[in-house]
Amino acid sequence: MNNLIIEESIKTPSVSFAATTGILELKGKSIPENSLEFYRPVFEWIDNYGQSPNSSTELKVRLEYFNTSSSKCLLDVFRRLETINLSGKSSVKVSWFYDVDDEDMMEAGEDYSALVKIPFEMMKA
Amino acid sequence: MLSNFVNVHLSKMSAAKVLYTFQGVIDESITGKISELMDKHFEEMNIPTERRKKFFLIMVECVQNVFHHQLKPEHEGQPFESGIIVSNDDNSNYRIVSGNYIVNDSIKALGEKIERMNAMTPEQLRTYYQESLSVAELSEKGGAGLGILDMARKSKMPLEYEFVPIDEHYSFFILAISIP
Repeated sequence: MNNLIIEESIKTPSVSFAATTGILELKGKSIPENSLEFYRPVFEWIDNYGQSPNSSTELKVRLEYFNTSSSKCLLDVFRRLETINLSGKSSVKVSWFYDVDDEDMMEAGEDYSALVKIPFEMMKA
Repeated sequence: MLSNFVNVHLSKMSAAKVLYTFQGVIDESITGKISELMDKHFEEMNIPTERRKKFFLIMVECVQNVFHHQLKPEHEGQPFESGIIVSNDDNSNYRIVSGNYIVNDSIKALGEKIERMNAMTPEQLRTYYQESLSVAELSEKGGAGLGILDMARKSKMPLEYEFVPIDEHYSFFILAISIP
């Protein structure tokens, strides 16, 4: 299947999802008014990828900040990955990157790890 | 007679330095305009990155909260329009005030929700946020219903609010968030 590549914009992050390596990355800010428009193709790609995923999958989240509209879509991204993990087809983990002084982003990562059953690795930079 | 939102609130904030005001229908360009202005301000004031980030997050949430919920009453001659005011005081405490119409039927629940949040400890707010996020559904305009809760959690200061009665259908909802 094709990789998913979306360029970063002022309100949306860059997306770089590689099907053959199972390395998925979100990077930048995510503050669109209506995040569903942006995340819908992301959801579709993950659902397709889940049909025959790489044996391991890693989502690298390198977000500076995101709004509450995006927070709901991010949860849906993690839930989709959780489904792939539970299917046994791929071993999934999330690497959550945050700045050393950024308590809000650290807590956000911890919140998600409490809500979905996939390993979260907290990466302090 | 009621004056307009910006003037009413500017007069209450005489001790504060007003950095930005907008009055009218809030659209998707406002966050960009405030960001541009505040970027310059933060540079001049040498404000650390984490404080800038917190400000931007709360500002985006506040503006988008109005964007998702603002109503335009159908009849003409109403005294207020939606608005946003950004100010700071001598100690560089920032404050964002927003105003928008709300239907009277929503006032009771919203007021009670804010009172509940104001009475919570940071840990309780966090648990409440996690619970709310796990069951959140996006509205047609993309709102997750988490905006005010997120602002309360990030600002760690009580939310100040006021419902100004307009007529039998509408009130004007004013929300002030401090960013210490």
